[in-house]
Amino acid sequence: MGPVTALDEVLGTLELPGRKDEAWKYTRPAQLLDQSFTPAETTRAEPEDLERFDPDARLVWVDGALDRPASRWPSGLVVEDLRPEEPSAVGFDALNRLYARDAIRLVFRGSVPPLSLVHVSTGGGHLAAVRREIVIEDGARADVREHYVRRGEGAGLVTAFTDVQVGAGGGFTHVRVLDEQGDARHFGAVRATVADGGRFDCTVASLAARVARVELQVTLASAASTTLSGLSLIRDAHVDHHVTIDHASPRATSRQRFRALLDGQARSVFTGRVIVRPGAAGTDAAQVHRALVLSDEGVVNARPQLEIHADDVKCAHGAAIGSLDEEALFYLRQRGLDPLAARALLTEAFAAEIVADVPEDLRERVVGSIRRWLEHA
Amino acid sequence: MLELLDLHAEVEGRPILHGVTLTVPKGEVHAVMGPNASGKSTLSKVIAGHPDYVVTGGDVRFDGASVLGLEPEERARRGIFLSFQHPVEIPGVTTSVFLKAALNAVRRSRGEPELDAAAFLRLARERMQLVEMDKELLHRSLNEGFSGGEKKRNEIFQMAMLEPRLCVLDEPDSGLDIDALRVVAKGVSALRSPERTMLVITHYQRLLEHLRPDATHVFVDGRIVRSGGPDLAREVESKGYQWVR
Repeated sequence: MGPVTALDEVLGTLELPGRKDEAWKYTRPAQLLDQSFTPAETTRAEPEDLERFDPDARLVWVDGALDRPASRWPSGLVVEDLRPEEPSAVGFDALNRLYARDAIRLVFRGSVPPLSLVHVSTGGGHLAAVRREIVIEDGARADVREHYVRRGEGAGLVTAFTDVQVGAGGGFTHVRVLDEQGDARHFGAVRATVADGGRFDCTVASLAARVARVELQVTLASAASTTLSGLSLIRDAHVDHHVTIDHASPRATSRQRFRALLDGQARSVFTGRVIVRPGAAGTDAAQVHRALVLSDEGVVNARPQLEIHADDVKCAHGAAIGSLDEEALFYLRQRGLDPLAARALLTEAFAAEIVADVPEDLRERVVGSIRRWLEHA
Repeated sequence: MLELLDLHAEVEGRPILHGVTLTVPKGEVHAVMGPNASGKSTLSKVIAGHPDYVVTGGDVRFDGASVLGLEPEERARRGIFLSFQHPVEIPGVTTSVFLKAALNAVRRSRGEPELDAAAFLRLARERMQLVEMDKELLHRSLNEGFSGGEKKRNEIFQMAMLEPRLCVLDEPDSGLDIDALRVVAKGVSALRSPERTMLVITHYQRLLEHLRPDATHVFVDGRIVRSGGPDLAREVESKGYQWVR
């Protein structure tokens, strides 16, 4: 059980990022911490929270506490308690460490079927903190989906840290679906180190939350590779996808594909920082960010940050911000589609490239979210 | 029947059509020939209701009723089809997904039952043969990476699927080689019917040799300057547009 002190009593000790911090230029910590939150009493998941998730391979957290009776994990997966570390962290990392309970380590050996990590938050002025490590042993394969959902009314703050180690030649497919309806604030971090020849593929779908920041940090060893994809649906909300890829060794490959859909008073922030360390020859890095703005009040801040300290590297980046193609809209209407259907078709098409990166059995759910998002315009 | 009555139109404040008057009786095929930048494409966009083209005078009537107050999709559902000179590419939307949605929108408006996926595919495979179109294209993004010929075949294929009563074909021959032209012309000819009116806009007479329209109109500087039979097209081709100015 973590401390039960309210957030505002400890806020001063956390060393939160200040105004001059480049990494927090377009999202202020105060947007996530605009009021005090308190940890929730331990509660159980309701059956309707879980009906969409595999009953045989899921771990369930409610307001940051592991709901053991609702959780089942496949054989072959090792689940260990995570010992508290030295509190050297600052900012949201420190906040998360302070409040995290039931921190665990998941160790994958061999080949384990897909596992869902389901996080239910209840609002009500509550703070939830989830912290875990995922270890993929050398040559092992794993597929883990993190889902963040919400029930209940009122403001809420969720912070979630997932630290990943992919062993040599290992492979990890990770999906992170943020679908916290209502007055939700969310800070998420996925920090991965990938050993020689390992592979880490991560798709982040930020479908709902009033204010969200998701940080992805990947450090690549020799000949390791990563593909990071992201989709955000932002209506009258603020979503920040903050990526750092560290090419620490030669011949690693990284791909970033991020798209944002904005409507109403929306802000999309994307940072794609790529560090190529001295000696990381043969680095192959590419990054594309595209935003589709459906309203007049959408704001997009997209910035590639390339820090290249090696020769013989390929680093490409591109960014585009646009509205729906009027000629395409006319073409579809000329064939008989009403403007709403034509817009929906073009908008879904915009998201399709990222949806294709989501594992097949989750695609329909993501497409369903996009359709509902469009219908609630 | 299509009637254009002293039609004036502008785009971005620039007048393009200067009083076009034309009647195409039901079941007939009429050709409009004209030089580049004469306003031929504008004519097609105005009939289809493109929002950038503003009608400043006159009327467009289809089967006796003005269509100027109708949105593009309402005109489409009344049976007006525009074959685009430059069909748009839409990455991420397959021809089959788009066309099934369009066909069912049109069918709903006609009070016909919607087609399910199997019935749609059966019909699509049959109609694709009309323009010798590769069935694979149905499942690729709409027009993305299609050759010029494939795009034009796709337009005629869509026309065959939607079964419009008025077809406006804006340069269906542009950018086609002789073989592709023959295929497109054959497809259009197969769709001629006593119930279907066609207005074919072209730069060259070549297409008209295949189509044999009921009448030809020469279009210069935003108006029709001469109308006649098949001989007119050949005469324009040999003497040039300067001859009719």
